[in-house]
Amino acid sequence: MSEQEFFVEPDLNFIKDIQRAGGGDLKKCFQCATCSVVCNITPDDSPFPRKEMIWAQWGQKEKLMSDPDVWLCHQCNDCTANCPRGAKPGDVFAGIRSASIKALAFPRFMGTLLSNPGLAIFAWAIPVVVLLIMISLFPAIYSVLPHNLNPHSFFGEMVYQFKNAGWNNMPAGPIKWTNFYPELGIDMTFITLLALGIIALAVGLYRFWNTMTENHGETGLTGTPVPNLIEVTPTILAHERFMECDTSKNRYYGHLGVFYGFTGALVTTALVATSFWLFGISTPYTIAEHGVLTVVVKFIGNLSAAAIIIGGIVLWVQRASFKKSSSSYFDWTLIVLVTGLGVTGLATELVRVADLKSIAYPVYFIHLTFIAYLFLYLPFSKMAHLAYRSVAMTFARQTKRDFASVEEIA
Amino acid sequence: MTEGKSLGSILVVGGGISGLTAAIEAAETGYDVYLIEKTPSMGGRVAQLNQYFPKLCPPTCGLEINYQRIRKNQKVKYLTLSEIESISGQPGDYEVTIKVNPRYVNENCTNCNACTEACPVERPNDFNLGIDTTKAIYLPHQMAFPMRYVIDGKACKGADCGKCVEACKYNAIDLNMKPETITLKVGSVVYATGWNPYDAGKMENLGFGRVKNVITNMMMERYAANNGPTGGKIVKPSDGEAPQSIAFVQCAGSRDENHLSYCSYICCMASFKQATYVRERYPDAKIYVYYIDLRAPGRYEKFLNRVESDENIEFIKGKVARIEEDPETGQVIVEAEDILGGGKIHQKVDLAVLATGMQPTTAESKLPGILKYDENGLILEDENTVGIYAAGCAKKPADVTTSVKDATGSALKAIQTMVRR
Repeated sequence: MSEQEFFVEPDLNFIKDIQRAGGGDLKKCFQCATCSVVCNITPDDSPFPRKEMIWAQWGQKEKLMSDPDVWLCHQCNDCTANCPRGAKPGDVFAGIRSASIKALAFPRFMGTLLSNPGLAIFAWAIPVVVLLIMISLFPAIYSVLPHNLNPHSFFGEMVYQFKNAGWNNMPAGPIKWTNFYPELGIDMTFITLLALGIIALAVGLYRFWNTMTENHGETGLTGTPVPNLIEVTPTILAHERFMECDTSKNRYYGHLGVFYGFTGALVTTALVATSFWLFGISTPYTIAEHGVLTVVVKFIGNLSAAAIIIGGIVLWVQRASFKKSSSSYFDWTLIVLVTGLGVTGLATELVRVADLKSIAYPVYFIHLTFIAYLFLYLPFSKMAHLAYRSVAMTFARQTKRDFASVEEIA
Repeated sequence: MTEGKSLGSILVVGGGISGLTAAIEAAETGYDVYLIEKTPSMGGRVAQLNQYFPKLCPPTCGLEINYQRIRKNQKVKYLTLSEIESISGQPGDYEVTIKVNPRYVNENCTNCNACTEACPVERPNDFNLGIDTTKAIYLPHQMAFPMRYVIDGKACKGADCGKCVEACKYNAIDLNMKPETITLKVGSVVYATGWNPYDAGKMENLGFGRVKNVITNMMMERYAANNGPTGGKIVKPSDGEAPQSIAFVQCAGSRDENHLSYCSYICCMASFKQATYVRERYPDAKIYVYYIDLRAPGRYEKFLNRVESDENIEFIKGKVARIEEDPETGQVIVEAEDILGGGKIHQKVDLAVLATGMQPTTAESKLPGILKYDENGLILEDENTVGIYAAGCAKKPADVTTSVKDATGSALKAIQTMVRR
């Protein structure tokens, strides 16, 4: 060890953030390093999680929120299962990630909103209010749109959808989602929410990258991020890291289901959007009219919903059954969101098929709320792990840290 | 001392260093003492050691002094192969029942060994922690007390075989012996039920039983002891060859809430001591000690300093949490994080010694009488209860010196119970 002086400035609030977000037992750690040894994912050089445990005890906020290792961890919980002190490094890491997302959040208050269980009601109220306001604005939107278009033409129909949209349409006519929430309204609302989410996420990632380079880039970076991101993508897609877990083996299947369920949902959305904007084909599809497109969209869509729901349940059961670990508000919010998205999506389809007019649009509204929550809070909820972990893995590769993946690719 | 009338009787359960001490200390003040031991010989865990602290003498001296004192003192009645079954009454006036298991060998035995030579059955030698075997009729060990052969009733084929009975010229073997139950009246009881080495097989990641050249610290004592299975040669179990590199794995089970939540107190010093065994026998061998913290209580610090100054002994701060066998060389790979040097180590060594801790025998089976235990099965001392006491490692992990002092204190407590009556 070098003899250089090191002035420790603990950030007590950061310690509390970690403790609140699952790392309540972090001070039980007595630095035996069992965790670093039993971890199948850590590199041999400066392995985790032992060093992060002492950083957390000492409130080393800068070191932790800039630490790629915190994200290389996939929470197998092999460390927690073997910890001789019950310090639960797996949970502490979840807590550090949660506290880091909060600390890197732009704008900052959003980090607070999403990490505090006491504010959950407000966090859920915002998407609801946004959607309600949008719906109440439909007549006003209709009034400013041109009314001289043929109502059966592509653009004419899009305009016409605004005329009686919203709750007024509820009991009458066949269930047609655009009668409730017009096509253009969906795109305006959700593209805006997603754009806000992505911009905020980009700022967070930018901060993250800079602080990583500053605090953990001493070995130097090779190459640029994009090729390295491309190189780590197969590892991410194949869930290779999850396969290395011993204690929480089943999380591999759960996460795989949810991950590809979301990917499938994205593909479905892209297909529908492309068909609509490029080819003027609007939903609902019928086999008679749209043939292959109907089969493909229905197949991928339903399969994705099933994957999300089953994957979500697997993750849920896995969390509940590993008694040594506890799950924080941050964890449960994501699981509720994921399963909720799947279940409400499926319910939306079922009420339409069953023609349950009285509840159809409220069910659809709930589903839209979940999507709005997902998009708007992308950078602040646990969903952000998708981006932070990918970026951290890229950084690790660029600093030649993630040895395992280098070997695998070579 | 007192002619005729007895001052009272004390029962001491357990014939290890604590029990022997409590028994003879009480007897030498004039009290009658019953000393009962579960196994065929007194001496307990200390008898298994090669050397012990503080003077690194062989256990022969310490034990032999106590045996001499017992032999010379009519006040101590001792029973081997005996276990306490029940206790009733109150302080000063207890009635205890004791089950005496058959030895199948009577006092005619002259230790001629003819029976052992005739015996066709082998059994694992528990005294040597299963490293070797004995016959079903055997002498418990070279310094057994009482010095008398014994038959392992579970291993022996009984009257169908009877080869030992034929071989014995002194009519010392009786295969028809049956267990007996006896009742004793005593004024107080001292439990000196001692400890077992924590079962190394329970730490799956440490490879004991799976990786051939992983042994425990108590096995190391037996390898190093002149009366051990190898005549004092420290060897690799796989091939009987001398190890050139040895890793000591500290806190193997101790300070671990999944195993023993407490520090076993002796394992650091035991490993430092065993490092000296290795250095004496193999001057070129390289020794690695993996630890969480080095605990050398009190004056033992000097011993630690001595071991630390040895350039062939390397200390690495970081607990070993995984042990595998190198499929190519058959070596042991111990895995730890070198906390001070920063990095995971995969150290290949010829032999790994798990510094397993002390588990009280009361962890598994509780004793008769009103006693309090902690969550690990250690007997808790309670100021308010009188009559039944514990001594030595039944209460907390301790070295020999501490156990002996504690046993003397317990003897005094036991005497007080009767004097205050």
